[in-house]
Amino acid sequence: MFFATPAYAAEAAEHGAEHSQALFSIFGLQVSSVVTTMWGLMVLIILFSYLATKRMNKVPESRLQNFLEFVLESILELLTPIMGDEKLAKRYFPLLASFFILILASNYAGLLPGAGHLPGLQAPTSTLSVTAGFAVVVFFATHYYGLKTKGIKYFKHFVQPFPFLLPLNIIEEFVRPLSLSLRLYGNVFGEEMVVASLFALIPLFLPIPMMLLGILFGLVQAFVFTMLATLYISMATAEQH
Amino acid sequence: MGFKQKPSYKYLNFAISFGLTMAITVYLLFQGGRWLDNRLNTAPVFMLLGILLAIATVFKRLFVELKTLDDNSGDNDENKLDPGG
Repeated sequence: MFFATPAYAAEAAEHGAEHSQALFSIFGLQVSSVVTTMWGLMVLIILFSYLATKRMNKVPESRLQNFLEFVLESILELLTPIMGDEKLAKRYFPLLASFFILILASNYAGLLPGAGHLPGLQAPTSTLSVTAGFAVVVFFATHYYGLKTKGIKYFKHFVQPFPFLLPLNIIEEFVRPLSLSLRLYGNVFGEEMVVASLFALIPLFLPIPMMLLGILFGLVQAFVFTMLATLYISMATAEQH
Repeated sequence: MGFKQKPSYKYLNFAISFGLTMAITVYLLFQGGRWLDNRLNTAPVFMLLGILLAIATVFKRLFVELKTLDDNSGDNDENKLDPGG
C-alpha cells in the first residue's frame, strides 16, 4: 500500500487540477470539460426525447416510446407517495423528473471510459458549481410554488410555531440548498477520487468493484436529490389542516 | 404538516438530511461569527453567538422533525383503531 502513496497523491492532485481547467472560452466565459459534458448530455436527452415522441401513439408501438413511458411512469410512482397525491405529483413532475434524469445522466457520465482524464469529458455532478446550480433552482422553485399556492400566507411558516423562531427558520431555509448541493457533490466527487486512486494503484480490474458501486451510488444520489426537492416543494405547498 | 404523505418518507428524509444539515449549520454560523469578530475586533463574542444560534437551529429542527414523525405515527394508530374512519 505504502509504495503506491506518491502515485496516488500525484493522480489525485492531477485529477483535482483537471476539474478547474478551461478548454476554451466563448465571449470571455471559460468552457471546461464539465460544461462540454453537460452540453453533450443535454443533446443526447433532447435527441432521445424527440425520437421517442416523434410518432407517438396512445398504445406505444415503438420501443423508444415504450421505454420512455416506463421511465416516466416509474418516476411518477416514486413521487406520488412523497407528494401524497398523484394530481399534485403531476403538477411538479416536469421539474422533478428533469432533475432526476439530468442528475442520473450526469452521475453516469463519470463512469464512461476516460471520464475525468480525457479533455471534454467529466461528470458534471463532480463539480460543486453544477450541484449548487441545481440546489439554487430547487430553492427558488420551492418559494415560487409556495407563494403561488398560498399567496402571501406562505410567509406565515417563517414565524411558526413561534414568532421568535424567525431567525432560525431563515437560517434553515438557506442551509437546505447548501446541504443538497454538498451531498450530491461530495458523493460523486468522492467516488471519482476513489476510482482514480484505485486506477493509479492497479489499473486492471481493481477499480471495477468501485465502478459497479458507482452505478448504484449514481442512482441513489439522483433519487435522494429528487426526493428531497419533492419534499421541500410538498412542504411549501401543503395546506395546513 | 397537514399533507397526506407516507410516514416512511419522513423517516427517510430525517435519516438522510439531519446529520449533514446539522454539520453545515454549525460550520456556517461558526465561520460567519468568526468573520464578524475579525471585522469588528470582538473575538470571541460573535463566534460563540454563531455556535449557540446553530445549536438552537439544530435543536429546533430536531424538535419539529420528531413532532411531525410523532403526529404521523399517531394518525396511523388512529386509523388502525378506527378503520371505518
